[in-house]
Parts: sequence; structure tokens; C-alpha cells
Amino acid sequence: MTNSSSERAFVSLQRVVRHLQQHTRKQGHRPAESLQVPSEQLEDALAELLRARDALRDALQESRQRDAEATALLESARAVLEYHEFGDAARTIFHCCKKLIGAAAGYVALLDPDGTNNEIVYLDAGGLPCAVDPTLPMPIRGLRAEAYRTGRAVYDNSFPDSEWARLIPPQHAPLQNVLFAPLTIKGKAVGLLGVANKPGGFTEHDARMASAFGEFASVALHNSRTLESLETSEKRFRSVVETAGDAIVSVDRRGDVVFWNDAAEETFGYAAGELLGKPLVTVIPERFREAHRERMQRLVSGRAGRIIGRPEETVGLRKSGAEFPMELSVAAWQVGNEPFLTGIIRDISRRKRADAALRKARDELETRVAERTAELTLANLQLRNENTERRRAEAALRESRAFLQTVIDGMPEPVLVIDRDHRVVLANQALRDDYPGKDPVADRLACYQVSHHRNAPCGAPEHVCPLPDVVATGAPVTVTHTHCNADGNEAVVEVIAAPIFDKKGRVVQMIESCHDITARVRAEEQARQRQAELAHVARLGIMAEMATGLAHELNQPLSAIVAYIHACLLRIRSGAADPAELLDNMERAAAQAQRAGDIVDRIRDFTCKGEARRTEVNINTLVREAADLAKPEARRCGVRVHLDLDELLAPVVADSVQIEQVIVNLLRNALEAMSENGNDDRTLTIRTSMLGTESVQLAVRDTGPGLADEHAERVFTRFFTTKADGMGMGLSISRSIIDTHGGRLWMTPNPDRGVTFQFTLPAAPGDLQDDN
Amino acid sequence: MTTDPTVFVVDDDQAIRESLHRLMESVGLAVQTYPTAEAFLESYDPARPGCLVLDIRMPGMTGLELQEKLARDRITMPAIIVSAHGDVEKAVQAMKAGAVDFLKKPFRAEVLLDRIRQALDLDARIRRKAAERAEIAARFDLLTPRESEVLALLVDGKAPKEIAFKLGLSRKTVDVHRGHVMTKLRADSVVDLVRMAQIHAAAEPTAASKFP
Repeated sequence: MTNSSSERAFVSLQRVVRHLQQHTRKQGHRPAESLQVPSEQLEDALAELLRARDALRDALQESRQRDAEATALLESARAVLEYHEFGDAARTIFHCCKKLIGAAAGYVALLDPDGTNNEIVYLDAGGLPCAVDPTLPMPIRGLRAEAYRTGRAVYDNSFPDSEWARLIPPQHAPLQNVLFAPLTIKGKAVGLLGVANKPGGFTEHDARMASAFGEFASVALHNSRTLESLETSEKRFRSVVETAGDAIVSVDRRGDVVFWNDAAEETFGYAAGELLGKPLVTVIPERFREAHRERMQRLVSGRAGRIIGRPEETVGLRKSGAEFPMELSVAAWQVGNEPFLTGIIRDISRRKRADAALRKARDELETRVAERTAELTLANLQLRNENTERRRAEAALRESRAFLQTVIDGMPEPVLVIDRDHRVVLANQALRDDYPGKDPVADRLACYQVSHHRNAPCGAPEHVCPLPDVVATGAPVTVTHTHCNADGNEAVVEVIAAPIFDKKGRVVQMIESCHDITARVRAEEQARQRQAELAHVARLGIMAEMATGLAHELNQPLSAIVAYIHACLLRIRSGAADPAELLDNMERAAAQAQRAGDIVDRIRDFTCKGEARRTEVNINTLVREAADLAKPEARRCGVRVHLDLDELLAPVVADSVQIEQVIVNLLRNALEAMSENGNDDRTLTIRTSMLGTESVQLAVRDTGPGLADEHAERVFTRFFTTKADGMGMGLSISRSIIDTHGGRLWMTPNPDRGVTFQFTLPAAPGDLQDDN
Repeated sequence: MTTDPTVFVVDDDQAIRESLHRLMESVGLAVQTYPTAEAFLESYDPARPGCLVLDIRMPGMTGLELQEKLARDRITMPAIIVSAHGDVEKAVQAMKAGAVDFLKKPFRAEVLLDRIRQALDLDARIRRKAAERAEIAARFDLLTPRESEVLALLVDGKAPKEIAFKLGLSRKTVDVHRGHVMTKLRADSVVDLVRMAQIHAAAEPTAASKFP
């Protein structure tokens, strides 16, 4: 060692010096030439001195090398703690390693999920001329396979002569020597740190150093993977909680509660009975009440149809007097002229607490990391302790995950998360309950296999899959689907689908919250059916009243047929028949027979039961048919019927039989009103027109005596009639028919005489491109 | 002016007008059609013989209203009502207003043609009588006041001696007046005189004033 060689040199020199001192004391101040030093003693001392110098140089170099190694390892350790992204940590660790070992080039790679190829995380070509595409696959073979298999660093200093050299692709930079150190997680090699072209070749020491760096890289990789999966699951669960069932509260113009759902009872602690008809501010803390009233006033007076604000955070007051943070979305609408506001309220105190806990855990973690970094500049071996801390944090997050799973399992209706391939990656208990014996997540089932029992994604028109829309827009979508449970029972379900984003803002998953609306849909269907039945009864009534007139209307073509045919008979009998004239008469008779048939068809169509089917129809066509039906009655009443039809009228989506019934009803009312007139102007005008681009309007104007003011609105009431023989059903049914078609039916007196009944219907969508 | 009788069809249904036109033509009847009562009144010349085929229910003036209007104007053309609405009440009204017949659509063509022929005969008879009345009235206009007085007493069945006494005339003078009356009225006998006086009185109620 250095000590012994320098000691030996020192002893030799001491010996020489002692010899010289003795000699001086003996001789006094004698000239130097007389000095006699034993030559072998001096040579010994010189040799020792030279040896000591070399030893010192070696020691210095070794000490510098140790220093560089320690610095490089510390830097790597810091990188492990500093960077959450594996790529960043890998780059730093690689450079430390390359610099320390003195290699020219290299890379860090990870084993792909199949375990057959290397995926480059970081590549340093070291300025070597290499023309191989770095994105090409790097199969695991040769020396790499050796490193993966043994889990140890391996190197080869005469690479061009080795058996591996033939595996190098053409145009690859020339390799003199290579060294691979594995990255291992839980004893399994999952990646490589590789360096190459060290002048003079690699040593065992290099291999040991590379192994150390490989370990750092392994730790960095493990950390980043753990963090990533924890962050993803935390984000996913947050979405789940955010789409949970909410309190829904509606208030009227005065701010009094008119609707209070179960979730609201649970959130605020008030039963619906306690709050209905009471002011909503009861559940708002005193200091927010004024602001709340102002905001509500603004929404109510806004008259902007349907406003949906972004959810905002505010504070609610429970019955217990406790305040809690809540998120509030408000929608405003009108029923008639009466404005209503509906608030969707989410109790976010739990989320807030979770947020705070998470923040705190994160802060603590960061503090700990900072402390650890400081400690590690002194002793990097404490890294192991750090990992223990991390595992503790992981356990905490896993606990929070279990807690959140409990939360979504507590939701009464199915909630699931699917990835972009429709695979179910998360499901709550309600969903599992619908499919006993199956685990959609573990079985890697697709959403359509679970809720639709089919083997391909849903498609238009009956089942629109929300996934493409959500992916494209990044916004939530609501669709209505028919789902089957395990027993094959069908349920109509409203599905709210919301996106889940990754760090880069891409939609990676979608959360679906399912709400069973079967009962509502059935109730609506029943109401529609009842209305259709009522309308049919009314139609039969109308037809019974019109039957005499229509029967007479049939007599017109029959009479004409009789006359045409008899004219032919007479001509033929007289022997003066002109074939052309006979033919003409026969043709005219045939046309009249057709006319008679059309009348019968019209009656049959009008009285048919009607399946309450909606199709795209032109109101003008219905007006013409209705006018034909009312013609005999118009004749009887001596009324001129004038049609003023807008030929550019947009079609409407409607039940044509029911709408025709409304028109016939209005025509008959008008005719009847005018039949009471004296012998003056009796004109019935039917006018159709566009009301903007979105509505179609029809007006039936008569010149009758008009209605007394006190009857004006009551005419639409069931069983109200001014007629001696009327049932008073017509107008009330007409109004309910127009209402269910999304339109409006009303009456106005004319400025001169008579009244005008009008209705509007929404124009069918998608007609705008024809408007040029 | 044609003397051929014409069938005037008034109906708002075009098919009815056309088919009836063909039917009339096939039996050689002159026919004219009108879609409304107003159109008929506008072009009608009372001197033209013929008959009416009318629908009751029409927009504007109805068949019954047309009948009433014709009656007010003392136009006696016979009308056959043809209606798809065969209610009894309307039929009674039509007959009261002077309709000669009421047919319900759909009618039998033979029946319609038969009734039209009867109506045309009736019209011809009415016109003949009207012509006779006009002729008699013209003859009456030739009489002097004294001759009219003598005629009135003759028609009352008074003997010449009584007439002479009543009028303060001589028997001879009464005979001369009677001879003038017989000549002017182209009467063969007193019975003939009585018939003519009755026709005249019926046609022209004011004429009765000439018989105090």
C-alpha cells in the first residue's frame, strides 16, 4: 500500500541523513569532495523514493476515482428522487454512468409488454455514425438476452470477434466493446442500461458500477410505475364520485320549493314535506341569502329559456345547523309563463376532505423527499428507508381507493368505467347485482356484452353509442338505451357518459352512470295511448255527425254516373251512337266512380283507429283532405271555403290522422258558427304560413257571429259547448293533440266579425338546406 | 229567339251539370247549365220556354231562394228540384214554392227525363193559356165603358130587359151594345162570354174592378 512504500522511502532517507550527520560531526567543516556516502544506501533510498512517488500518484488517482464514483452515484440517487417521469431519471442516470465508466455511447431500454423486444427510453449515439432507425424493434437475443437471463451485468471487450457480432444490423455504428447492466424489479429483469466503445475495454469494476446504476434506474422505474397507476386510479375514482346521484331541488318564481328529491332529503336533512312550499333560503346560510336571492331573481327575469350554468361552489346549511360545501348547477325553464329554477346540488364536503387529505399527504411526501435528498448527499444508502415511506403512502392511497370503491358501491344505480375499446375497467355493486355470477372487470367484458347481450358496439339509430361523441368532444353525453339484465328483462335507461382524461388531456376512458327511466317511459307511452284512444272516440263522434252530409256527398258522383251511362244507353238504342262520344261519356263516368271511391277512402282513413304514429307530413295536404271532408257541410251551410296555402311550407313531424282531426274540428266549428248567420257573406278561410323558420302556422277564419267574451277561453275546456247537440269534446281534445305535438292552439276574435282559430307546430328539423 | 223549349240546369257540381247536359242532348233536348242561381238569373230571358232542373243546396243563392225570386217576378217556369239532401222539410218547402217535382239524387235517368218532358208540356200549356189570356185582355181593352157595364150584367145572367131597366137604356140600345161586345170579344154565345170574362178576371185581378 502507499503507506508502506512511503514509509520505506522515509526510513531509507533517514538512514542517509543520519550517515551524513555522523560524518559531519566527525570531520568538522570539511570540503564536500571529502564527503563519503555509501553508494548502495543512496541507491536504496532513491528507489524507495521513486516507489513512494508512484504509490502516492496511484493513491491520488484512486481517491479521485472514488470521489467521481461517489458523485456520480449521488447524482443518480438525486435523479431517482427528483424525477417522477422515468425517462428523465433514466437520462440522468445513464449520463452519470457513461461519464464515470468512460464509454462513448449507449442507451436505456425497457422490455416491452410481450417480453420480446427492447423499447428505447433514452439513446445516446455518442456521435458515432449510425444509420439504423432507432424506432426499429430490438429483439432480445445475443448478449442482451444474457443480461436479461442472468440479471447480472455482462460485457464483451472483443465484440467484433464475438458470436454476437453477426446479429448487429447493417449500417449500425461499429462496436468495439459493449456492456449491459439489467434493470430489475422484484428480482425480474425488465430493462437494460447499455454502454459501448470504451477505449481500452471494460473491466470488472465497470461492470459492478454499471450494475449499481442499473439498480438506481430500476428504483426510478418502479417509483414512476407505482405513481402512475396511483394517479390514474385516483383520477378515475374522483370522476366516479363526481357523477354520483345528486340532490335535485326546484323552486318557483318566489323562491319557494316545489320539488325536493330523496337525495336532497339526505343532503340537507329536511324531509320533502317539511320544505315544500317553504322558501329555499332555509337551507342557505344567513350570510349568503341576499346574494342567493339576487342570483335567482336574475335567472328568473332572464327569460332565456334554458340556462345551464357551470357548477359553482357554494355553502349549504343542513337541518342540524351544520354548514357544508356544495357544488350547485342551476337550470331555468318555464311552464306556461311561470318560471322555475332547478338546482342540482352535490355535497362536496367528502371530496373536499379527500382533496385536503391528498394534498396533505402530497405535501408531507414532498417534505420528506426534500429531507431525504439532503440526507442522501451525506448517505445515499438511506434510499431503502425512502422506499419504505413510499410504500406507506401507497398503502394510504390504496386504502383511499378501497374507500372510494365502497362509495360507488353504495350508489343505487349502475356505474361503470370503460376504456376506448369498450372494455369495462370498473363497475360498482349495482351493476354487478344485475349480472350475478359474472365479473365484467375480471372477465374483461365489453360494455355491449354486459348491458346489451350483443357482440358488437351499439349503433344508430336505436342505440347510439356515446363513446365516439365523448372522445371527439371531451364533453358529457346523455343517451337513452334499452338494457337487458342477466334474466333478459329489459329496462329503458338514461345513460350519462362523461370523459376521463389522461395527463395530456386525451380522453382515455369514459364513465357511464345509468338511470332507470322505464317507469317514466311507460307512463308517457300510456298517456299517449290514452290520448290516441280519446282522439279516436272523438273522431268517430265527428264522423257520426258528418255521416249524413258525407253520404249525400257520395250521391253527387253516383248521380253523374247514372246520367252519363243512361246517355250512352239512349244513344246506342237510337242507333245514332258516335263511338268517340260514347267513350268520352264512359271515361267521365269512370272518373266519377273514382271520386265516389275517394270519398269512401277518406271516411275510412279518418275513422281508422290510428297507431299514434308520427311521420313527416305536409300540413297543406291535411288541409286539403279536411276541406274535402267538410265540403258537404259547407254546401249545406252555404259557405264558401277559401284555401290560402303557403306552397313553401316546411313539413312537420306529426300523427297525420290526429292533426287532420284537429283541422276538421276547426272547420266544422267555423261552419256551424256561420250557419246561424242570415243570408250574408259566409266565407271560411284556411291559411297556412311559416312562422319564422322553426314553426308552421295554420289559421281558420270564419265570418260567424263570434263568441261572447266569457266563452272565449272556456271553449277549450272539456264538456263546454254552446251547441244544442254538442258534446263539448272537440276543442279540448284538439288542444291536447296540438300540445302533445309541441305546438299551441288558441283563438282570437277578428276585428270585423267572427273568430280565428290558429295553431302552430314545430317544423321538422333538417329542412334548412332546401331553403335556397 | 228560339221557340224550342230549353232545359235549364242549375247545379254547383260540375259533374252533375256535364252529365245532365249529355243526357238531355242524347234525347235531343236543348239544354243550358249554370253553376249558380245568380248566373242563371243574369242570362235568363222569361220569354224563352223550358223548365228548370235545380239543386237545393248551393253556395250563394239556394234553389229555394231562386224559386221564391222567380215567383216574385211572376215567372211561372216549372222547376224540378233534384237534391242530394232528401229531407222532407226541404221537399215540402220546394213544392209550396211551386216546384212541380222533387227527385232525390241519385235519380233514375228515365224518371228524370220523364218528369222533364211533363214539365216542358206544362210550360207549353201555361204559355198557351197565358197567350190566350193576353188575347182576351186585348179584346177586353176594345170595349167602351158602357159595353163593359152591359157585359158585366150579361155575365151575371141578367136578361136584356133587366139590363135596359138597370142602366136606364132602351131594350134596343142594350141589344146594340150586346152585339158590339159579342163582335169585339169574338164570342159565339153568352156562355162563351162568361168563360172569357172568367179567364180575364183570374189573370188580372184589377179587371174585377171593372165589374162593380
